[in-house]
Amino acid sequence: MSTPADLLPFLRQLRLFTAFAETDLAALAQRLRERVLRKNQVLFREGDPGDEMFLVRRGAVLVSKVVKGRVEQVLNRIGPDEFFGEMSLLDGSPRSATIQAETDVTLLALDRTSLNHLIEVSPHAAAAFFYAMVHVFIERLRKSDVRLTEATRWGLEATGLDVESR
Amino acid sequence: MTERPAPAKLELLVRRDDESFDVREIGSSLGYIQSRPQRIADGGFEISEVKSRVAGEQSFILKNEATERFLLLAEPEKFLWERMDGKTSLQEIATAYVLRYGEFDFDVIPNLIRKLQRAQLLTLTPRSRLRQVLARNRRQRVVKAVETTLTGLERVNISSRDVQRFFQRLHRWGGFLLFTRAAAVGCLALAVVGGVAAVALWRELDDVFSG
Repeated sequence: MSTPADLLPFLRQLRLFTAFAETDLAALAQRLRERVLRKNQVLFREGDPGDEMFLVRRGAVLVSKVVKGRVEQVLNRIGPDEFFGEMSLLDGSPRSATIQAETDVTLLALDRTSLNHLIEVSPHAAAAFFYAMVHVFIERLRKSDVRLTEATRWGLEATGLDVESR
Repeated sequence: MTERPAPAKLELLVRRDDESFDVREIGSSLGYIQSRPQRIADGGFEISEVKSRVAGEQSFILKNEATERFLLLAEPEKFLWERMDGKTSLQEIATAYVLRYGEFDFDVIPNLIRKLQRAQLLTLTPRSRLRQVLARNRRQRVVKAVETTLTGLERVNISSRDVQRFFQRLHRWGGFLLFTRAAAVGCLALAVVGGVAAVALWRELDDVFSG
């Protein structure tokens, strides 16, 4: 189990915390909870309630969404230094996808109470945190646009549907 | 010259019973070769041979009876058309083609499919037989309602959370007794007693009816 002091070098290099002062980072490190997952272990499922986001310290997780029966589409692969689960943390909605460990994984969980504490105690750090988060959202939105067009292309190619000449 | 992009891929996760999973990358080409093209129903088209002056070359006219559109098919294309029965995959059709002609032109199948689609000679039919029957009788209101209900049911997603933990707890707090020899003997004894009681009741049935 890592101590808050052990976490500092890791947190310092994350995009979300680049604008944090050392004291803010140290305070945050104390509020993070470490979670370890074995390979294949499910962290949460689509539709589960949740109020935490997770930072990936080691390993990689798969984000998936049910397509049919036991088949799910892999939406994303999240590796070291990246984060996930922020949507439920921010809007309180159920989990939008299932997260499972692709390898053995170490995560750091940040819950809503800790986030609210950060906003109250260090509004400047909180603003920087949200600003960095928005940048990541934009990147993810662009990627999801690409994924959507790829899925459409897959459908057209797999069915041999001739749309051009219709 | 524009380069053709690589076939699109989908990454799918397939769960197993023991909570583990496999991740499979499925290329669109795999989806394509496993598709099963189906020509329109038998009464919807007519095919007849065209007399050719060139010796050894056979060609056919394929007519869509509904749209009055014609297609000229070479003999290998007719061979492919005859196999588009909705049951044979493109992979199997291609294999049959190679076995028949000893060679394979990679463009012949996609080109023919495009031509047939344009002439509305191929149909997209549902996979399940029940769905096919329903689709054929869609004009009837009851059938339409059944189809709508089925579609609705297909969209229902039943999931259970923490069910494993629940049964683990149930097992720990007494459920395990059901899986002991004593429980098995008890069940057997109950079954015997039940059987004897049933026989006794059967014998008394006449008395009950006669009052």
